[in-house]
Amino acid sequence: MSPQWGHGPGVAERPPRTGDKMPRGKTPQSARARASAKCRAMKMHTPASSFPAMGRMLALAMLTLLALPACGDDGATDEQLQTVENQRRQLEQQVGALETEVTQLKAQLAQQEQESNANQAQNQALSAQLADIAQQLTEARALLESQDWEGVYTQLTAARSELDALRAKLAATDGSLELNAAFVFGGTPLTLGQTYTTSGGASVSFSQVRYWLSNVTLLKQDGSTAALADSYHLMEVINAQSVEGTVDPVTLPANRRESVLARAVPAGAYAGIRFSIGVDPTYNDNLSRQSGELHILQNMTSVSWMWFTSYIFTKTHGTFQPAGGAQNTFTWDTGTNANYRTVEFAFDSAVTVNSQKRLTVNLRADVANLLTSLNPATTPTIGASQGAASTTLSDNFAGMFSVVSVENPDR
Amino acid sequence: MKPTAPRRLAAPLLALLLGACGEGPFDIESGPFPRHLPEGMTVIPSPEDNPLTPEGIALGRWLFHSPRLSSNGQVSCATCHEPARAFADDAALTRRGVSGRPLARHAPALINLAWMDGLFWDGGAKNLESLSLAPLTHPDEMGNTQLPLMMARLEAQPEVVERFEATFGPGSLTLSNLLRSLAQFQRTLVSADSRYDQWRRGEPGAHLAPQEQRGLALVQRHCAPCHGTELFTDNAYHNNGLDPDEAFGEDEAESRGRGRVTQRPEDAGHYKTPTLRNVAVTAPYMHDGRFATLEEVLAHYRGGMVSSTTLDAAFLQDGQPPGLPLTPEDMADVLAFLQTLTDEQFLTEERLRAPQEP
Ligand code: HEC
Ligand code: HEC
Repeated sequence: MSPQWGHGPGVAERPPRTGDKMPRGKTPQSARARASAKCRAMKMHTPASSFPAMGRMLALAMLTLLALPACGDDGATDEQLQTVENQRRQLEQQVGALETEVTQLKAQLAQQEQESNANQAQNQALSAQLADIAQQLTEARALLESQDWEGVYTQLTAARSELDALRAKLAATDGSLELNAAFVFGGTPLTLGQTYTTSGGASVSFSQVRYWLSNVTLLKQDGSTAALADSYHLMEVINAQSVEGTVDPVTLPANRRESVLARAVPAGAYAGIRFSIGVDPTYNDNLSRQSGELHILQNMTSVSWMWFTSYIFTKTHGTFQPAGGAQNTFTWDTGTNANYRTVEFAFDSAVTVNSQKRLTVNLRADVANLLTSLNPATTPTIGASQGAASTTLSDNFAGMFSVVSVENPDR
Repeated sequence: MKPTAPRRLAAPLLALLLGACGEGPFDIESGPFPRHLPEGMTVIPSPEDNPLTPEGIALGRWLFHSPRLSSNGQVSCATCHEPARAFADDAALTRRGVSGRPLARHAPALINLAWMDGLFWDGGAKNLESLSLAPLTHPDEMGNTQLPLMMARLEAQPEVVERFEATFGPGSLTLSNLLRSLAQFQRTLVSADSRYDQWRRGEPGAHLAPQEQRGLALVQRHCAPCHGTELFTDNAYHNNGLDPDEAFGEDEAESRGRGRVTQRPEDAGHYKTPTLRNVAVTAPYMHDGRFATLEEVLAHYRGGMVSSTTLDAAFLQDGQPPGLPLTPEDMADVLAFLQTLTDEQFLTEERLRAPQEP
């Protein structure tokens, strides 16, 4: 049993038998004294625990109950009987507490099963184990009725240690990650068609912003990493638009996609996160390769780019009007391996990913940053061949993210 | 390029090919694989996730010759890449696409593509899998400006669905599989059985006349830096003096050649060296088909070159205009040798032609 799962050893110690030797140099005086002496001894080698009180309480109850018949006293006093009764109730409560725990875990597993299809087999094994534990607790209740304290104790011990093993398994089981990158312009959420004022006093509005967020990777303290599988996500804020060049009108539905939900994130403690904007050369160089959402039919390739093997990494389209100048539209697309960008953020403190905890990383994607050192009035078009401008724009995409918060609550 | 290699029979080569493809025995006469590879080659390279299979090649062959891939149902890949012309087009700038408008460049021969890293005259396409998207979507080629519509059209034809499922299994009519099978077929467009190759392999009865051998020596001396190796191309990009600097243009201009792809000024006017294999049947010549005959090509190399900042150093001659020092006799010899590179088998082979519709 490992202390790091946050559950005390509780009943895991074998109960003392009547013949057990007392710690050397101690003279037994009463069952209660013996119990508390043993309890202290136990506590000394008890690892730190988030429920030390519960563990000690249970041990105390057991010791008293078991010790009583061995004390040789003829008539137990009322006080003693009262103590026995109290402690029996405590044992019962203990069974109840474990039952509650089992119920909670069951609900959690059911939830998990709904969320991910990946670990079906694993989930089923865990559910079977939980059913076992529930059975042990049912037996413990029956034994409680028949006042078989030792029997109750054995059942509780087994149930407790199985629950701990199960929790250990859960803690080593893949978790999930929610990565949010909210489109904003400066301080406010980005709305398509709305006119914003740039720091230079110009007016700008956007008709679409799209980019590939790819290869999400969690970083460990020791420098090792956990790369998520099939991690290609098309982030976008687009209006319904009819697709150009078609005879029958085809419309792309309006969409706002700012969130990535990654399942099967390897359990572990992580110090930071890394992801890329664009598509890595392995996939970008061969358009017949598909992974995650990455697909040639995603409208992130362009007929006018087909002579050149690359996905379109980012699209930023809108209208721009310099202070006192004329309004013009701008169409900025980037692609090509040279414009693949990777960004990295360290968490303020390490986070834990496993099936028992949620990890949510909230970022802002500030579209205002895309205009840094670029003027849509003088550079209305960025495409495959505007080398310098697409380098700047790609840098601007990488620079538009900032961390708002990192949440890591229990499930 | 001397015929020093031992005679090689078809059998060991087949064994090598088979090893590379991981497939069982096939019928040499009707099988999809070439009988010979260029000297020194042992396998047809293909990406790990798209190995050559007889089924994939067969589907690719059918697709390559199928007009169903075009928006008007009338243009196939073979419309501009004709088997009898080593898959080249006889127009300088073809109008055979769905719109009837002329294309910006000449449709080249498709020969030994499996060994080519960059495709198109400027190398903009990185592999055969990705390349097909260009002709498929180009409004003046096959006209599928919206790929989802093309896929929907194909899905509506049970025969197409059946062909894919027979090849790749249930639910396999996908754009990815379409691109991959087209690529597989194109990798089998191997030409290595010309008179030159037979002589090179020392096959019985194969010979090159003295003039042809002199031509070979001249090609090795003057042309090999670019048209070298058994592929007769270095698959690299050069400026062979067709146009002045002013003609190259900027940004994405087709006339910028390799510079369009790399966006580097020093690559302006560079184009991929075409192979000399089957060159006698692939007229017209150069990226824009400006020369109608090989005589014109050789006249260009001898004295028709235009200077520019990116002209290849191979053509600089002390105190003289750029070009290659070829005498009229040299030119006749080179021409004679170029004829020996015609691979009749390649031009007529059943396995490369349109399959019989059932
Ligand atoms: C309308 C005419 C036309 C059609 C149809 C057409 N092509 Fe082409 N093809 C061309 C032209 C023109 C080029 C040269 C383009 C360039 O280099 O910019 C070319 C180039 C190529 C190349 C590059 C060869 C090299 O040496 O780099 C390949 C491979 C190719 N086509 C395959 C195909 C396939 C496969 C199809 C069918 C899916 C197809 N073509 C359909 C005209 C056509
Ligand atoms: C420095 C490199 C270089 C040298 C040397 C060179 N070539 Fe070329 N050759 C090219 C390039 C590059 C092209 C394509 C140019 C273009 O289309 O813009 C070409 C095109 C050709 C073509 C047209 C092929 C076609 O399919 O369109 C022929 C034929 C040819 N060369 C023959 C020769 C011969 C014969 C020699 C030697 C006498 C020679 N070349 C020397 C680079 C070279």
